[in-house]
Amino acid sequence: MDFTLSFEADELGKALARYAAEQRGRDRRRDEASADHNAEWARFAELGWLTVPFPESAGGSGLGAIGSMIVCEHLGSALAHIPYLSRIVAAGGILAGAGEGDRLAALMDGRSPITAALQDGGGYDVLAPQTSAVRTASGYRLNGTKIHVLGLPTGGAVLVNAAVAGETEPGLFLIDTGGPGIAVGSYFLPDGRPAASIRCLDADLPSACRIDRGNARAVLETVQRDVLVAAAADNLGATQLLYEMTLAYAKTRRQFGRRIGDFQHIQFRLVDLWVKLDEARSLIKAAALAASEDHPQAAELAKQAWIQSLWSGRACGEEAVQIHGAVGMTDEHRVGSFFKRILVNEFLFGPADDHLARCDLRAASDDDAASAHLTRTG
Amino acid sequence: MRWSFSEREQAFRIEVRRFLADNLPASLARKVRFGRRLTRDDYVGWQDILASRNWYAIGWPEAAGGPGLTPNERYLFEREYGARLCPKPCQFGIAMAGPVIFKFGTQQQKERFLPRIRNNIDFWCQGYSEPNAGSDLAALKTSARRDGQDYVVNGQKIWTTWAHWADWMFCLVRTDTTGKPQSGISLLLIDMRSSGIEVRPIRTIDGDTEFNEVFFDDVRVPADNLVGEEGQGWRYAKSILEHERFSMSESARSRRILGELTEDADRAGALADPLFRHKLARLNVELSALEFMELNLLSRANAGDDPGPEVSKLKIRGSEIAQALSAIRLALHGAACLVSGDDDPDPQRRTAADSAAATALPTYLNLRKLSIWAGSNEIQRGILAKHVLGLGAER
Repeated sequence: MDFTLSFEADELGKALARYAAEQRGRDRRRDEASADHNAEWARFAELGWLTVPFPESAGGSGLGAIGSMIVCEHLGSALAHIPYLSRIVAAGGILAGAGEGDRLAALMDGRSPITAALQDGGGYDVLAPQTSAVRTASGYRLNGTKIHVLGLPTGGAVLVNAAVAGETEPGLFLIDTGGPGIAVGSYFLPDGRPAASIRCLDADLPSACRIDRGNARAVLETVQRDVLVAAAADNLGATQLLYEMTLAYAKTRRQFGRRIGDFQHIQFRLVDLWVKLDEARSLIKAAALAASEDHPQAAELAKQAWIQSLWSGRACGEEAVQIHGAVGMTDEHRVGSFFKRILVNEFLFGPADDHLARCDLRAASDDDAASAHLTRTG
Repeated sequence: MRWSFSEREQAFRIEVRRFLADNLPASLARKVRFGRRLTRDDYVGWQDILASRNWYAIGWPEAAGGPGLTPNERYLFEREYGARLCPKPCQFGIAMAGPVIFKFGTQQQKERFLPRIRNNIDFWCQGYSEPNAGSDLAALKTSARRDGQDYVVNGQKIWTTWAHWADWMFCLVRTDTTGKPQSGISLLLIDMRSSGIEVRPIRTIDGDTEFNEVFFDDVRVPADNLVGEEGQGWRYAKSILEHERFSMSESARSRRILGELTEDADRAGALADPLFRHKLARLNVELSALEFMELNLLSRANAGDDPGPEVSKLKIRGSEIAQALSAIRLALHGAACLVSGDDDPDPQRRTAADSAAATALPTYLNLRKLSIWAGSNEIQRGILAKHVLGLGAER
């Protein structure tokens, strides 16, 4: 067992850290955001960051879930709006899983961005979409509304999961939001990220739009796993900043003639945040490593990492506001921005309790746990 | 990054697994499974078995006569050990007295004591806490006055686990009352059969008597039994406290206990209750986080990075999780917890579930100790605040 990063992963982390520092220096306002992110996307393509998680055999960098963990942690710490998670980890993951090599190549070089729209407000299990697809003479007819879609590109290529009538597995469809029966609504999420809703009302699609080969369940399971790890890393990046800001504030803010960090009660709470941050980081690294090796427990660990990232993120967010006091309540202060990043993520990918309810209590985190169950005495 | 251990390490793990499976007596395993109290003979008998394979002093280097395991092997041993229904070995000799003698003792002390600790011949206890020196250990008052070739010890120790079973005590005593409190402390090795020692048991909230008071009335201890230099005892004690904390995550044992709880809950139909299931699911994630914090530290240790005071986080979370597990067992058995094993009105109808229920409450109460001993969790948070977060009172 080795948790030290490879040379390539370490270099990627350093490059992203520079990018994040530069982004944090900017004052981001929601009205400056462009929903298609074109300029930033081209820069990411140029830097080679769009290929990070994909296997070398598919033209990627081969860094797998560890790579996307590194990228997303820094994007979270930068409050970056670039839709890396939805386009690369989610949509790219679906294209890779469905064997769509050409489309994946076009996604990786930045030419043809595609995003994924996997949530439709009926719970957070991407394997059980509420959007429905019915076979027609020429293809499929889709009904349903996808919400909180990030990074919908100009031209509107988006991957959608839908329950197919008469089939046990869901289907995966690549749709053009300019098509008939499809309406797009644009809005901003509470943390300022631009989002879209996509409403399909008897939207007729040709057969060729369906890209899964009857393996949508397996593809979505892998994508769900990798998305949760990457989203947990995004939370971690924001949580790290919340912790650092709060610790620094406790060391400088004076009340009653002393630094508030001199009070034992504040010290202990900061220690607990430090431990929570470490719990999240440790579990996320383990989940990313397991996912990158396709370990049998990887899906369970991804859920656990996501849950822990929410516990740690919520705790750090709430305590950061409390310890900053009224200053932490102001819209101007960065504490609220990082806190909202985590809260928005929570409802994009599912609250901790939703995932806890789906955790397998029989699966253990270490490969020795199976042996623990062998020990039986009469 | 790599998930698996090396083939050699995995082979070692299998070796440990086989040894434990072949040698753990079923009667002892049953006692551990149902939280029954263990006798001195239970501990000593089992530790003899471990010592026969030189796996009692598991953390010792070869130079001290130990197995000289690598950090990874040591970790795997603990995982296998915790996964089985093995009694937790008595730590005072192997994890505290032994390492401190090895590190700071004279050649003669090493030759005299180390083989007897390693081979489970002497039973050790720790003389640290006093009535007015608990978390504030440096306030200790038990005195040792030099008189010819002896020290003469007077005073009182308290909360001394297993003093009533012990052959030896490593004891912090005050040899100098001038200067800073920390600077006048020395470490003595005291034969518990010396005249002038009186051990009185303390009954604890769980009904057990593993704690004791130990009184010293002009107890003569040969000066040869001073470890290292006079006045350096505080430094020596601190160096082993850190050692102790590293082994106190208890994650492997907690993982086993969570598995047993899940199984018992399943059998009792409690997993169908969403509230109960939620408790287990939460603990499962918390325990995973602890396990991977530990593995991260291990990975860093392998890369030559000394985690230092950071290990306090393992003690804090390990103790909290072990306590939380004992609370879930109470919730599982409910009212059945109120019938203890000793006064069960109908011993004939006892099932495995009854046995587990009967010890659930004493176990829950007993495990309150985890967040108090070995540096209370408040002390651990203080260490982290000061040495890791850089928070300390302004000077």
